[in-house]
Amino acid sequence: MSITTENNEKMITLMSSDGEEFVVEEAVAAQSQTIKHLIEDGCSTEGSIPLPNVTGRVLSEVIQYCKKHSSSDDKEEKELEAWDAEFVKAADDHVALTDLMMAANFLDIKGLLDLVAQTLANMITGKSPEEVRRMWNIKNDFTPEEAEKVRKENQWAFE
Amino acid sequence: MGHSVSTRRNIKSKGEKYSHGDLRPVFLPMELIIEILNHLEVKTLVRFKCVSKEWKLLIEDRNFVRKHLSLSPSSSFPAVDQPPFAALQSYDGLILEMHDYSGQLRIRNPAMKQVFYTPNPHKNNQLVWLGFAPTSGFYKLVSIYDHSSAGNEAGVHHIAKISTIQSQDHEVMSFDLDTESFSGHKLVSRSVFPDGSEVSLAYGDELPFLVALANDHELHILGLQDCEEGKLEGKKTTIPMSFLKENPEMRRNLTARFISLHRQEILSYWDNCSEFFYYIREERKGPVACVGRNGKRTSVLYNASLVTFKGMRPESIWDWNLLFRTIDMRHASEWELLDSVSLVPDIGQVHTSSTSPDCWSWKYTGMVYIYSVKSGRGNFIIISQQQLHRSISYVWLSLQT
Repeated sequence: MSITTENNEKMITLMSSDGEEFVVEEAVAAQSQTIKHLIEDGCSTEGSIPLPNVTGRVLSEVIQYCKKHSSSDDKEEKELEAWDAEFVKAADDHVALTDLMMAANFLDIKGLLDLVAQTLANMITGKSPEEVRRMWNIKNDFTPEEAEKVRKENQWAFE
Repeated sequence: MGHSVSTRRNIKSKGEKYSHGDLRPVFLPMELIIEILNHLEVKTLVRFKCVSKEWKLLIEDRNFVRKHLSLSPSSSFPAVDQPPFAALQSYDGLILEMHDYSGQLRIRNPAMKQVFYTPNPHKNNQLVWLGFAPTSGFYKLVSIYDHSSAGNEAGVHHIAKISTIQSQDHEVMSFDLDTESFSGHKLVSRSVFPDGSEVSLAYGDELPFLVALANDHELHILGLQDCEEGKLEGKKTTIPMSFLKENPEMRRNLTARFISLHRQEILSYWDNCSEFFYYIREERKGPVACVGRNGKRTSVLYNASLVTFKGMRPESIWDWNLLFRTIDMRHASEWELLDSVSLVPDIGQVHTSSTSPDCWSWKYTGMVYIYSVKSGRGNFIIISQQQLHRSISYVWLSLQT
């Protein structure tokens, strides 16, 4: 399936894990190294590219990011930074950001991965170990004695 | 750019499946957790060692520490943070400091609140330098001392010594921190630099440079392409320093410390205290922010890091009484001579023909002593090598990360 716009931009169809289809310019989709390689390998010639790890909700956010970043040139760096800040703010909470990060990783979009990583880092900076465990369902595997020892050794970091 | 088209089919309303902020289990693989932790400050990371065993192992992992360091932004750190100690050098988040009166050296990681008091360097110590040996993963403290009064310069990865020998050629050597050996013995013909100019060493973005002030107001620089091979650049660069015409008194004791051809600037210092930038393109001097009114260094460039090594202790356990007791103990019997075998055989044997008694003799095959700490206050080895004749000597300290 090959669609072109009036501007002769080649279009690519992406399909999310929940069956949503997104038609985007090839230049936008190629922001993702994973998709770029799929296109180069000729996977886009027939029908749409399936992205089994990314839901439609997340994919639409990722596409928003890729569109912005493929249409901006270097001179607009300041504006782009402001846009990025708004973009991650809209992602709202750590669940949405975690989804976005998983997608950025799977799709291999370096800029987006760094952006989300930095946002999550800012988010957890003031948090306690208990809060971090709760965020990502991390099991506290220290015995009570070990936990007390580690805590004591690093007490200054809690003050 | 053409307008972009995006069609959504089977459109569902946003958040139909999950509302934001819900409590469904979110899992993040470790490779992505690392991406997040890379962006965190040292103190937060130390606190997060309590999250789980995996997190603790990761945060203490050497590769993670180095990656985190590589992303750590530069900031300025006060040169005199805990008087009477003053910073000599900042390296990988470690500050090498010297006690104003006693000369006691210590290596401190302020972000980790850890400190290590080093044994005293050799009496005629001219320069101490902290560096990292990437192959072994050791931090090494190198102390250069000399029986003569000739000047020495030291570098981050390599230590080079330049001396003027009888023939008036210049001799360049590198000290490799990994192999702890001198290499790259190279004689630079006197004709490279004009008559009577004193050659020294400056550090650069990529290459160290041989530097000489010539014709009263020109800086001649020649890059050292390969420290190990002692290979020099084919062509010398001449940088005009017109301010020396107006300030002839600055010709003496002017040292170029760091040359960045990339940024077209030279960090120089005069008379060992007043530091300034020289902008090559604009041919003008500029102040260095880290130097105070009295010309003394007020801060050092610093990158906060998680770097520690065995033997470091929390800062808090040191107080003044303890410190002075430590020094006394060391002078007494704390350092035990274990062995006197040669640990590193044939360390960089370099000889020049010594036809005249004034020639330098380079021999690195003297006695090697291995010391270890008796009281268990560290797991490092000090190796001191003593030589015959008037030659350079060195002591180093390997600090295991």
